[in-house]
Amino acid sequence: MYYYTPDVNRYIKFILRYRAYIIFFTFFFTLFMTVMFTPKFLSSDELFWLKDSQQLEQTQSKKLSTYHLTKLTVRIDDTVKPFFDEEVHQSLSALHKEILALEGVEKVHSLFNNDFVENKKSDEESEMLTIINTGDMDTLRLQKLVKDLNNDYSNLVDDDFKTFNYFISGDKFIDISTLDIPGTYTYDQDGGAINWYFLGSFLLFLLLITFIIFNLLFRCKAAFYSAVLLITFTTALSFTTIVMVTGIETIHVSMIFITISITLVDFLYFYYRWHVSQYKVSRDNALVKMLNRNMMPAMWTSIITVLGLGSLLFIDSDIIKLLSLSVILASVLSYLLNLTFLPSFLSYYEVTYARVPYTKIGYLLTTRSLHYNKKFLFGFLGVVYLLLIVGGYMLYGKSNNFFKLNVKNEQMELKIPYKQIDLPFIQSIEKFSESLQERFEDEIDEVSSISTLIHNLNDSNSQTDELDEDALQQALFYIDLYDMSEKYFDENAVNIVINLSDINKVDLIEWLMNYEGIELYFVDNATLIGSAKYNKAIMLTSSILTALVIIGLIIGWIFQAGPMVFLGLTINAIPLVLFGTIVTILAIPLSIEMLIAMSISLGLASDATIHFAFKYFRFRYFGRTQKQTLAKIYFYSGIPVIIGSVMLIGVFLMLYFSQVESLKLIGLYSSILISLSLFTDLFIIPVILLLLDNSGKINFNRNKS
Amino acid sequence: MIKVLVLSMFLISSVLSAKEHKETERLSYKASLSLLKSIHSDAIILGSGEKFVYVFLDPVCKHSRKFISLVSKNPKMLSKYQYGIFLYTIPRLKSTDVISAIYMSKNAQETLLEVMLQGSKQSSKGDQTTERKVGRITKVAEALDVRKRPYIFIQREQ
Repeated sequence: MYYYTPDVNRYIKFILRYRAYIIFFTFFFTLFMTVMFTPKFLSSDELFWLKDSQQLEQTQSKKLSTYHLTKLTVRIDDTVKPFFDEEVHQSLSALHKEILALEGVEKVHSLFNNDFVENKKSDEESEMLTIINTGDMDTLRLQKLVKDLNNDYSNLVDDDFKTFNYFISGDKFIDISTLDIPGTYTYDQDGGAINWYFLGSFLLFLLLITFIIFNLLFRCKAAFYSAVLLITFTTALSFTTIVMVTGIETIHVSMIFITISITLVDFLYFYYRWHVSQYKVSRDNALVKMLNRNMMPAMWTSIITVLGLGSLLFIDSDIIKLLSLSVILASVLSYLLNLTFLPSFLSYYEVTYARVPYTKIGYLLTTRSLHYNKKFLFGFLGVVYLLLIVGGYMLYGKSNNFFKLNVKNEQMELKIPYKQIDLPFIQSIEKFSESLQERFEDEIDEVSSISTLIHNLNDSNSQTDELDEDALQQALFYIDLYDMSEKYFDENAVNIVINLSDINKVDLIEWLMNYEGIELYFVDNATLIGSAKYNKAIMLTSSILTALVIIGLIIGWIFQAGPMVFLGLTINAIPLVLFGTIVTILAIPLSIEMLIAMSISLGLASDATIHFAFKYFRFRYFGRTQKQTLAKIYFYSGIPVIIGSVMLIGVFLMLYFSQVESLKLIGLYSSILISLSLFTDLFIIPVILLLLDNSGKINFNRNKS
Repeated sequence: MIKVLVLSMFLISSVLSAKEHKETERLSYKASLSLLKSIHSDAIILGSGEKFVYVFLDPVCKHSRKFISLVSKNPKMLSKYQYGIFLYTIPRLKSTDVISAIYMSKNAQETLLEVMLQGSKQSSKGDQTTERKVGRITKVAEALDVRKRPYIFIQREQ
């Protein structure tokens, strides 16, 4: 417990005797594990979500194939052509054909290949129902058609004929780099492959920055070398252990940042203590101080991580397993290496300049914390708990409106199995489309299905009136005649394409999953991922909330004080609640990057809580005043937290400016969450500790004999 | 003024007559099929599919030609459907002699395709057999209220 100072003298002697062996063993063991259990890294989270998708299982059980649906948006600006003329028309039409010829492409939906049923009923005796493909129309006729039927084509072309969308369906990610695209374009996927060139350059840059910062702060090369080696060993061992234990070989590249972040901050608690302890004592004694002051709180942080997140390992979800294992292993392995490798390595170095700049910040914060405003603190905590309750209501209420996935000008495709295309079947699709349009009104555009096509054909067929069995047969005949069946149905199922105008896709997915009038299946991966996220959203958030409660309870148990449960829960919840509020207000969709950032935050916040509280209790136990105690905890724990957090915020902000979407998101979310964690660590933990201390609800001297 | 009145009267009568066409009651499916079966032997057969489609068309009419072109050039349309084609003239196209020539030829199906797809010029005054055939087709077409060419009737699956 906090009052106990472990005797590590014999252990240090042992370390000093075998230090070279320990260093070599760590190196070769890490190398061995890396060779034996090499993980594969991916930058797309698609695979992870799809693995957990119940909807995908259902779709596959019906033997319906799934595919990627991506959108290419081409903009013809004034530098290319001031208006849509024959030349632009031809080049965009040629682009449609080029995309269709690309490997893996199954369908392309654009303005340049759209079937239009001519509504030309007349008294002429010579007349036939005609379907014209927009790809065969001349420029003027095409423009006139779009203007006449704007609502039907608004998802494919904008009003001024400058922006054109191509919806591409393929059995894999489509590489469009070989296409000759007129104007500027955007294409919304990165293929999931990692840009190793970028990642490598980024890591080199990161090493350089770390080198400079550590040299400026500590003026000792040992800081940089030991940090790099410790982080490398922990990261490699964490992921190879995951591969060895779970058999899951594919790891999301962003998960590397979980181990880097947790290891860096854990390392700093140890290294910083070793560094500053050389101010007055010998280098061997500095090793003793490093271990006997940190091994207990660091052990508890590892235990908290194992117990808090360990229960999540029993959930049948690869994402949750990978996230919790990354945090747990990073915490445990970095602890073990901080006790073995780090003292062995540092024993070769001696610090000549043991002072650390900016430590005066600690005194400043001490003065500020001692004069905290009680009303403001209660107000802030009240708001946090209110937000937590509102979040819980939004999540567990009637309809899940916590997570949003706002999309504009997108498509989604469904499949409906059939035994026979007859009138009741067509009517059931019609009813479905009507209910859908009634519910979502302007949020969706056209719902394109065999039902709409049959109605269009019947309306234009002068031989038929109401849609009856004969009219249906005629419509199906014309579908065959104009060779359109592949677009609308195959042997087992019909396709429904919903053009999304401006909608929260989570709402739509929820509505579709609960629609009972028809048996429908999601087939495009984006929607399958959306449904998997919708299904997992409650479980994932519940997992994090459970972890929060467990962490709170363990902290209460460690310090043998009920009020400490409140401290543990509050400190860990604050960054998550504030972050949850931000993403809800900005309607940012749930992603694996968000969960990774939350896992990092949880890991760091629980570490800081233990280190701060442990030192607070310890110094108060040994009779220090509140002011002295605060000054000490800011000096021994606050400064390493500031250094670690500022470095991580910098690293993650740099990631935000990368070109890789996944890294960009992890950079943004993590930098926000770590900033919130740092704010909580520096301004809230000490103040709540003071509050509990002043209230007399905790007894530091309970175990004094 | 008189011109405007005459034009208005003409338009009104056109609208009324159009409405009158719409209101003509269609024969039931069963009755229509029975009539068509009665002249089945007069049909020129095209394709080998399971679904049977009766088609009334005029070999000179451009839409009928488009129809035959779409059907005959698409193997799927020939393997999925079988067509019983009746030649039924559109009076203003004056195609009676072309129809007679097709019916009187040794291979009516081949001649039909030559006329409609390759634009082969065929013309012949019909004999009694042909006239009777055309007469039977006309009678059924009138009973079915066939106004458009091509006109299709799809036999439901048994």
